Amino acid sequence: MTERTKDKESVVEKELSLGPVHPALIEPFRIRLFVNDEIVEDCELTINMAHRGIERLFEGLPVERALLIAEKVCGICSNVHAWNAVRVVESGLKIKVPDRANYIRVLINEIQRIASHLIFFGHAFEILGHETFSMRSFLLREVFMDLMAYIGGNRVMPSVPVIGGIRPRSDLTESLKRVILERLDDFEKKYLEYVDRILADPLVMSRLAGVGLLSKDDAIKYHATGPNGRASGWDYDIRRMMYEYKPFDFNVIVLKEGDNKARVVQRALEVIESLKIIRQVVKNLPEGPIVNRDWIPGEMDYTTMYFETFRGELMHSYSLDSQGLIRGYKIRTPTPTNLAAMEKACIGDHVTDAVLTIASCDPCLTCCNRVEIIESGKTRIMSEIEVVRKYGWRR
Amino acid sequence: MDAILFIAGLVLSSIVAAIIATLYSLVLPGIERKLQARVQQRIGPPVLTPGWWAVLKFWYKGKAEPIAQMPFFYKSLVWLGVAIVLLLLLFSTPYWWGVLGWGSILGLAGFLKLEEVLYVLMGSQSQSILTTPMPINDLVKGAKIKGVIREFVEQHSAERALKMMAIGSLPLYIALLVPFVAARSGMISDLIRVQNPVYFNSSWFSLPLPSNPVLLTVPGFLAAVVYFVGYLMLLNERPFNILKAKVDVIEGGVLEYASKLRAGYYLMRNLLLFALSSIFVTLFIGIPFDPFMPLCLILNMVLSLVLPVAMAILVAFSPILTFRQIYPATLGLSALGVLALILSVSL
Amino acid sequence: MPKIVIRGKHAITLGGYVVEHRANLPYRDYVVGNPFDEPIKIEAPIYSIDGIKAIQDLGLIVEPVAKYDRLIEKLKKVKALIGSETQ
Repeated sequence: MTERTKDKESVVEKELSLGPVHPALIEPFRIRLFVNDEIVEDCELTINMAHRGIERLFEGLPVERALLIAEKVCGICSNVHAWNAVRVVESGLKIKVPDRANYIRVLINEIQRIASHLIFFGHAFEILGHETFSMRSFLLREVFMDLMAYIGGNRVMPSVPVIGGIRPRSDLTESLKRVILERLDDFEKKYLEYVDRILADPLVMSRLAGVGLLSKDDAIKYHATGPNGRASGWDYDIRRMMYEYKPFDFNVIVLKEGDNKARVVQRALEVIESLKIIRQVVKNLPEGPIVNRDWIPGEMDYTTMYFETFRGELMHSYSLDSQGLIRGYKIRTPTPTNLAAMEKACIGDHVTDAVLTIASCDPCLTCCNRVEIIESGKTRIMSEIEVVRKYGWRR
Repeated sequence: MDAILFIAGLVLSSIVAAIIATLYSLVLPGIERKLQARVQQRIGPPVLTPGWWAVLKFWYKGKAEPIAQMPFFYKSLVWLGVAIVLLLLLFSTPYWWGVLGWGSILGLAGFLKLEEVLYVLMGSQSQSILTTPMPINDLVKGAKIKGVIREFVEQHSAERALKMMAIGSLPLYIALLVPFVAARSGMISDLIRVQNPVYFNSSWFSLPLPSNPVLLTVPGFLAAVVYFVGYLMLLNERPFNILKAKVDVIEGGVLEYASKLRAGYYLMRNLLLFALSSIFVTLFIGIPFDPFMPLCLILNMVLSLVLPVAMAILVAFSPILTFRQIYPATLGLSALGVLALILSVSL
Repeated sequence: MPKIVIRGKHAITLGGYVVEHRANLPYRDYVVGNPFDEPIKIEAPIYSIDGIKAIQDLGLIVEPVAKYDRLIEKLKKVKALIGSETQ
């Protein structure tokens, strides 16, 4: 593996710009590559192309109603936002969550992790130009989309976590447990063949290996968390610090190379670890209640909770005022910091490889775009009184 | 009198060959896409849709003016391409063997090179809104401004086409030489006379089969392998579609073609798909695409399915290669081609 | 570093663009307003207080949001400042 020195004096011949409307970029962001022949000498990403305003939407909402919106922050990792949003108020108001509920929360989270990693493979191989591997990963992903539908009633937004536990509809029955274990066994056989086939393909490996190098120091400097940091040797996984994951035995996959191949292989192995967690959940599921409704929304100081989402470190933070209305909601998703690292990692690659490197951090721009106030005549800022009149005065 | 008869025969055979080739070439993309879909466990489109119905659909779409530096020139490139590919195919048909020496290695290689130049010209002309001119705040305060040329991706594709012209098509031209060296002549007629002697004195409804096709010799087989990979490169198909890689240059120079122009581009691409495989059958097996010998014509068309089918399967299993992989692959193939060339001298 | 474009006369909150446990900024959040007519690009994510200074150096309005400030009021204030700067 040739170590490319990235601080040599760079000669920029021209600028190529791609996106936000581009057939290969499924996310709305703008890439400006400063190129010398085919080699990328510098790069600039513009990320806030889609305006969500979700924090502004939370401001002043009753907490139990707001957290249903939290799940809509993202379509691929919806459960992590729903779960981390309720963890903040559960931690702030000391709400005890039954064990059975925690187990099922972990279950749906790991199912969605696998579905997210498989969509990453689909997108990465689409950018690589290998449509067959891309189609095959979407075919394999159907198993987990169905499981999410069986458990939560919806393939994309299962809406399992609520404050104090899980939705009663999401409880596991004996027959559903059997279905989960059967589907997992069938999936694992096909999945291992699929991964073997990818790793054995010389053309694909020649495109992935040694491209998009991100050193461990750069990963830590730019805070590239999750699979991206762990593929560069940074052993940092928040699941180790989460009490909900204490009952489960799983390995944290850490690789050293820090190139595109490492980022693909890291996620491939992480899927296998998630399968182990799911089996442990289904086999050791404790009996007992699934939701604790014994709590009252009231004043809560600013509480911040960190979470290991499928792309890295996620942060949710807010407070409640005396009426239980949300104040100062902040969400930080892993994509901005991951993209900062990838902007550095793609320097020195070919143009075609640079787009692949940027996509190798599995960017999710949907998550990462924040508030923008748009005065377009229809929408405007609601004052305090209007919030109370719309949502009613709390007791 | 003979001259008039010959010209009449030439024109008639050209018209018949052009019509049959066009109709047949529009079925090939359907077969190609159907095979790729089956590899990916999908049903895939109906066989006539990607070729036939796509061309008809585009033909009747509303007029769309392409954004290009010289629109008229950019639009004419498509029809020039269709003409080049048609002539390329016609040169391999028997009537053209005797015309001005075009039925020879020079005629084929010359027109193939002309076809490759088209991609350079198209790329340098097209200026689609999808990249640089997109109304996005690039050069605003706080941005990274280098004061360099803000190039269209199509122009970057034209540079890549130039590279592919220089090195990418080398294997195909070397492979083309092997049957001619084996026949010790640059003319296709001599090549057929060596591989399929009975062809010249058989009646119009018979089926003259080759007695010693070059394909079944060691150098011939090596050259066929090199020809196949060169075939992929010339058609700009995966894994050698770097000049129209969807991931960055989207579709390269043809991005701005719409409605009739896109129908024309599809015609050109599919005709090339058929022409190159038909020429392969003519040169390596010795069965020419002869409009006045139906059985020979059909056998050529059937055998010319081999390359597109093999291509469809290879395309389904390969990623896009960048120049980091294309350069060594081309050098290796060219070396294999030269080996075949040396061995063919001994035939 | 990736960039965010703030359009002319618009305001955004930095919120999730600040890596809070690395930056350890004195305030909980910042509302950034662009009083000019043309858009301006700022760097995101922000890893330290230098990121905030860089935004201020571009001439943008940077309104800190302390722990117990109301986000809506701060947004209204920056919108008002944007309006007043252009009269």
